[in-house]
Amino acid sequence: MGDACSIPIPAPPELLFAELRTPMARYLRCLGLAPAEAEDAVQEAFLKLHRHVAAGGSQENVRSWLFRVAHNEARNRSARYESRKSAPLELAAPLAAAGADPERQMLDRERYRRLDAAMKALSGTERECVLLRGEGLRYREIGEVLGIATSTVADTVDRAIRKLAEKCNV
Amino acid sequence: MCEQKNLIAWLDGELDTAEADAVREHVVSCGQCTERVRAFREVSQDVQAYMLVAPAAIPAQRTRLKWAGVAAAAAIAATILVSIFLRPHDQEHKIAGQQIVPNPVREVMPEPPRVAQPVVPRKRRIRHAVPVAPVQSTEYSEGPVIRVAIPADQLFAPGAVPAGVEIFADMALAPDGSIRELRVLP
Repeated sequence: MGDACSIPIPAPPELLFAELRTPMARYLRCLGLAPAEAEDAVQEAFLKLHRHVAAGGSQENVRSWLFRVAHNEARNRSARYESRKSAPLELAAPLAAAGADPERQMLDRERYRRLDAAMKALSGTERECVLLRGEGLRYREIGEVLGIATSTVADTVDRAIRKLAEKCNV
Repeated sequence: MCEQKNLIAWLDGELDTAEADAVREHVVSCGQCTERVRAFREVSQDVQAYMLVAPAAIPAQRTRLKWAGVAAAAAIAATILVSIFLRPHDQEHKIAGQQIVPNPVREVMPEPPRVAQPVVPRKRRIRHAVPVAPVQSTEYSEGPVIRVAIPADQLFAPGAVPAGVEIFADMALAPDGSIRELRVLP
């Protein structure tokens, strides 16, 4: 996760699906969608891509295209999406590597709890930029997904990461 | 405090070659920026780890709410149906040592109107009168007289007399066979 796009253009549909299904679903889940909703949105995005290609549409920037469609689908469910942003993160499993002592595990839990609170304190656009950056999208791609200028993405990412670093005492 | 910008964009490889070279040379020579770059890199790694963990930790609230809503609606519907069809006296529960507490649901739901049923008297027929013996008596003016044993429950309301009790009576018959007189014996 986090590498530049490695998908050839044009890419066979099965390769696109294999490469992008999980990152797209993960991004949507981090936005607050339920698992079924996230899967529905991903399926819908690939269905639209199929129609887009069948209609002679360009397959340039296919990764940002798919993320944009999925992102817009999440926006359409914004009422439920907004209500879930405030839910605190309860980590079900230890984050430390196997064999870590309990004190380390507790520190990790606390560290990620602070990060979760810091993420929720970001604005919607800041959080979306950070999450898309975490999925390996370039600033230009993030701008295409969110419909904002690349320079705005750079400023937003810079501001968001500084906030996170400050709040997490890194 | 150093005001160097574009540190994060430099970390992300988003700067062109000239800008990236300039930032790299500054970071190497600036302790503050070296520390800030370390912090930005660490929190970026934490965010990536967070994205692997957070989706599993976030509950499927819509699903839960959906089924919670369905369960709540079913519970409300069941309560309404029970209160409509359950008879009032079945809903009062006597708690030991306390007065009968009326069911609050019954207080809310109006009782169905009670329709007065007409009382139809039952026609009693004497059945199973068993002839006991002919009566040789001068008390009766004419015609045959027979003594019969009549089950008491044929003459009285159910449960008024113990079961098995019989009433003896003399039955005087008219010439046409109808009962002319019936004398119950003490």
